[in-house]
Amino acid sequence: MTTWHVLALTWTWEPSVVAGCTALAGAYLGFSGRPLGWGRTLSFMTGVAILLLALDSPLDGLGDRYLFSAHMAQHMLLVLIVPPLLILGIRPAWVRAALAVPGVRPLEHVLRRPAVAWLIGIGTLCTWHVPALYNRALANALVHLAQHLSFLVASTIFWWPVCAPLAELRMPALGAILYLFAASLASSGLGIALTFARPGLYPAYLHPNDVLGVLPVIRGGWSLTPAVDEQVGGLLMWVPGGLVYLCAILATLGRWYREEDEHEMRAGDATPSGQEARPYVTPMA
Amino acid sequence: MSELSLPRDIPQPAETHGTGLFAWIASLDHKQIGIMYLIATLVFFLAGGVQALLMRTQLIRPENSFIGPGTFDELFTMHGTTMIFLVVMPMLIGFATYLVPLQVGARDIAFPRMNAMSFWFLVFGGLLLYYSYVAGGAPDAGWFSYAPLSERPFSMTTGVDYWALGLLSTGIGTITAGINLMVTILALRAPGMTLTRLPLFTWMVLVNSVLILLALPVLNASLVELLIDRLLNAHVFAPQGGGSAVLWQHYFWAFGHPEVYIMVLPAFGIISEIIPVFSSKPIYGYEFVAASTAAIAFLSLVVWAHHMFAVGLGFASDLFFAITSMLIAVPTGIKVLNWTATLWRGSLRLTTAMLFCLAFLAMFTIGGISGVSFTAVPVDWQVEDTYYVVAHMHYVLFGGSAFALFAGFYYWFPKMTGRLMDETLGKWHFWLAFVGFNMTFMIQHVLGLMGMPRRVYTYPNLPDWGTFNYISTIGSYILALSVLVFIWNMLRSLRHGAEAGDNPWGAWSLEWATASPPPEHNFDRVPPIWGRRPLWDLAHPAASGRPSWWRELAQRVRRPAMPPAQMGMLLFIGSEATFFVVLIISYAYYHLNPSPGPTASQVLHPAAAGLNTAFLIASSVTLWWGMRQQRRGRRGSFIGWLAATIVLGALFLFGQGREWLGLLTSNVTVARDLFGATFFTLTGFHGLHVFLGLLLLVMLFVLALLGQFRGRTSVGVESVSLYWHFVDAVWIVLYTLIYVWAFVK
Repeated sequence: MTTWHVLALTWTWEPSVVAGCTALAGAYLGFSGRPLGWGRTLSFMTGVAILLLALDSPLDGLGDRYLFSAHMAQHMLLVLIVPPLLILGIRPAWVRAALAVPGVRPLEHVLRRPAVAWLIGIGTLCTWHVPALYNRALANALVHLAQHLSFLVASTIFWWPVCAPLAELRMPALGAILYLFAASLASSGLGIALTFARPGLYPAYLHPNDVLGVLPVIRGGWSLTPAVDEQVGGLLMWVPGGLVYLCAILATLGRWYREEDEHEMRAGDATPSGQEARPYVTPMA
Repeated sequence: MSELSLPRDIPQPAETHGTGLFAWIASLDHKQIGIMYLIATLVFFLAGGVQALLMRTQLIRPENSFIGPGTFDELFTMHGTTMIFLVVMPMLIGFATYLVPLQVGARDIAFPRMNAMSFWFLVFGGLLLYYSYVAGGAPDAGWFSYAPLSERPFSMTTGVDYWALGLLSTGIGTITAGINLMVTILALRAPGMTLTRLPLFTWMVLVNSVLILLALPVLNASLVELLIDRLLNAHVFAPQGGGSAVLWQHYFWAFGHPEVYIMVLPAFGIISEIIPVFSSKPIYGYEFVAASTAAIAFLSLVVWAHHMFAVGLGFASDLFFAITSMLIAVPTGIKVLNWTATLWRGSLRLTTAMLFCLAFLAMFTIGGISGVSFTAVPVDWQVEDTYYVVAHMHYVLFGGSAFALFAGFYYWFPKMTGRLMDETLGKWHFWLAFVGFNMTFMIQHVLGLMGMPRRVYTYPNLPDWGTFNYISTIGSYILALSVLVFIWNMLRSLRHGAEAGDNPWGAWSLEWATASPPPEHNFDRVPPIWGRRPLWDLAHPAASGRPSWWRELAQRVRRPAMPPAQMGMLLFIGSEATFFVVLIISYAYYHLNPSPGPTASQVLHPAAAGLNTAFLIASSVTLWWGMRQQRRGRRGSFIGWLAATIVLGALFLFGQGREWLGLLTSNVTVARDLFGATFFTLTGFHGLHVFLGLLLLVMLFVLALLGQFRGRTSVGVESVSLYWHFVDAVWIVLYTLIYVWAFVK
């Protein structure tokens, strides 16, 4: 058996996931007016594609049984990549319509508060890594489903104040940078803890039930012993995870540059100090 | 002063007393303090230089006996420590202290007294470090003092103690300087000076201050633990008592790698100011230079383990850290590209300052490339601890930071003194430094690849080793000569230099809008700002896109989002939080990897500590309630609740003292096991913070009784209450960590 066999065997093609993703993409195209905004559509479709990839590719098949690191990669996609892409794809008009529905606006207002959104996002991430809960998810498909769904929902709440489609729903840029930076510290901290934790934090990965017969390739061909696997999982969260936050911070910095210039160059929004304006004589003249 | 266009609520310069030398020592003026920083660091620079020359003289030929191994160990430890902590970092802070308020158009730095404190902490730390020579021997465990070598059994003299105390002192000074600069930049900018229009030097100082607040507390916390190991016989980093020496390396490099960027980002800023002026062009790609700075700062926090490839972290860790470390080359490359593109088709003026900038570009690129070569793990294993590393870091820190600092001296000396430095002597300085530097260090790359180990006092007579070392030593003498020319140039130009005038270089940032040297209040009036090059914009209104309402700009008042004192307190709390995170990690690490001896669940009583926790939480509530009363104008009630807060805080300390006494009498001590060591460190430092908070509250109480705080709000009360709530929040974390974790399974 080769690596390619393993990768081919471990696609799960869960019907519910395929159907769900197709429905999501179809609904998006159906509800979008014409012309399609390419940027938004591309972002949303990429988000759906990565969602499908995360839930049906070998990341899922291997992560379910064999590899903590594959499971971590899957979670990183669900937490850090899919939600922002989907949010960036949403049309502003839809958000306005949704906010007009009674009850939605107050709820959105509460969830958008930085402390609330941050605690929900990072709290969910940390809670599921408590060994008892994580092991339960590996043993029970329903708990596992709840884990993935809660990651998606909590991370959507987390990313909403950073990249919501309406400017007035987003946090001020400096605040957003601190928000993302604090999140990267927390998530990197968790990654560091997992990297240096004792092997066997999640015992199911120590001796997987090798129903597909791929274990020899994983242990032999890829040299992923349980200890290395757990270390790679922690490192994935620590380093590439941190880099995703860095990209978001840089994008926010770019937004800030545009906004602050626009703001400062508007006339008449400052408090006059009550003095006469005097032209300043340039020292270069 | 009535014609000043700066609003009244911007702090006026602090008063200065006395004359002559005393006026300097007691000075609160950021310009005088900035100059004192530069003088003090130049003195340390000479000391560090002499140490380097002594080492190079010992290495001039094989098996030389000029200096013995013990002295050599002391010399390279003192040279590294001096140059990093007492020269490059504080010299850059000195420039920032002088320039940042001027560049943002402020009257003074945000906290003038704290500014003086930062400086004197630096001097005090430097003196403590050098006192070690008198006290029985200088430190000799390297500038990073790796455990277990730095532990008591292997370093018996007091050298390492003075090293740790000295760095602790300079570290505190650096943190307060970082807070001061950050608040100045965020809160005291002139109207129109948006963050996106900051001069790049100031922008990089801002990013740098963030790094300082995140990195220096890590060093301080690890120094504290090292001192507790050495003085109180704990074993946090001592393997013979169950401690982890690798933990010290993690801590040290978690500080040490950001430190590399703390020493180079403001240097980037100096370069970014000087190159455009002498190329007569705006900087190419301002946004990219600014954003790549933020990227470098962020990346620098996650790559420290590349200093530890030889430790044996495991294949996976090495791989990830190799990749992130390579990534840093991308934003750094962007910067080099931008500086070079700024030169492209500019009309260049090759002043001494500009020559040093051009040399910086080449030297720093060489240092950067040899730096990237370490990210290939096998290469790193091969050249670790050889002269290749010595060559690399000197290309970054001397060819990079020091050349940028020289450029800064030539560029800003006229602003500070009113006189230009001599260009002929300057050219001599430059060429001697350039030739001497490359002669000293280029050849060390080769020596390193040939396998010559660093930190060894001599070497065997192998083919070419003697010749190459001879060349290197001669180069170092030339470099030393260049520094003498530089010092002579400064002293001579102070008296005989040509009059500089306000703006000798035709530069365009705000410091050139005022006199040279600037008056004590910096500006009579700050020019209106509508672009990134205020003085150029004024001279070219049409080309710079002057808005039609530009006169209104001079009347604007910038209202910072929060009072500077509160902002400063929040930043201080941020640095304190980082400090506690390190102590918490130590505790958690040894809770998960316990050593033989009592553990938390055997000796602690969560109920008694729970009562204590209740006291502290209640004190937060009473303080919050008291401030609510104050806002409603009920002074008597406010004072009463303040008193209740003080009583509750004192009860907490009393309970803590009882618990400690109980533990100590049952022989649970710092020296007993790692639980004891980390528990007492953590709760002890928290207790110290409660004690300080209590002192602040008592001060508020006395001042309130004496009739202060008659208004509805007071920045002082708000700031102290922020601190008190923070101390309480830390305790809630500690209670969960220490007591709840031990008993919940």
